[in-house]
Amino acid sequence: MTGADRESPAKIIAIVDDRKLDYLFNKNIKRDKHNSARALQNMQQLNRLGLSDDFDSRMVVKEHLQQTLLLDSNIIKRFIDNFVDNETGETEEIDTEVRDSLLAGASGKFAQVKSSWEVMPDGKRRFLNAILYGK
Amino acid sequence: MTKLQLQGGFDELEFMELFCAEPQSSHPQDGYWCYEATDELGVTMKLGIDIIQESVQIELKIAGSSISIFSFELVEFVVITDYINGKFYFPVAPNNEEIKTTVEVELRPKIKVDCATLSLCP
Repeated sequence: MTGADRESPAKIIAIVDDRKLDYLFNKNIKRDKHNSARALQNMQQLNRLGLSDDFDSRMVVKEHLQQTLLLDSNIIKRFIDNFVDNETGETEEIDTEVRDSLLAGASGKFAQVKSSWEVMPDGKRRFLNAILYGK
Repeated sequence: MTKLQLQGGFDELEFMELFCAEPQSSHPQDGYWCYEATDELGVTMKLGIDIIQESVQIELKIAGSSISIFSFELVEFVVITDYINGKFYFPVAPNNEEIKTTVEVELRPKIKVDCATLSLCP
């Protein structure tokens, strides 16, 4: 089988807000006992991998998140929640999937990344948040 | 008794009934909800729920001043046991076979929060 024969995975467009990356790098996070603790742990995990808060590291993380959408096999959970939109009064639906991936760092170490994505009606995925694990 | 999964089963109407109030703040698109209750002694309890991260935060305040904050991750569900007195509980890391952590909350007539971690094996 040649490379041309292989079926290329459908590309899913990722929407990754820079503010969401702030949460991973513990930057400009509103002081809150849970947010602060979690953001700090995420940052420590990134630091362990040799990723500090700079342009290149942010690109590494952003690209990793985008690549997690290439495979469906890393989806570990998908669920739908309903809520009432306060502005319109209508019931809205939010479709969320959780993906598992491994992020490699320049230090040669890895971290497990559990990322959550909103499945948009047009098939795009909006990055919600992530938790990084590793020792 | 009502069991509400945080992921895929969160029901804001159930929490509205529990707190007898609408959420103090919410960001449904990010899966975050925050409810608040104040008792006759002036103790305020703030409950923050992140259904995507499966985390729960409880803050206790007196006269607007924060006196304690509890943060829990790995909360899969919340069980409402009594709407009249605002009683509910949630286990933390329910799949952990070595310890059992349960948080119990009562909103009325007075706010009460109990939390215990017990060993399930020697």
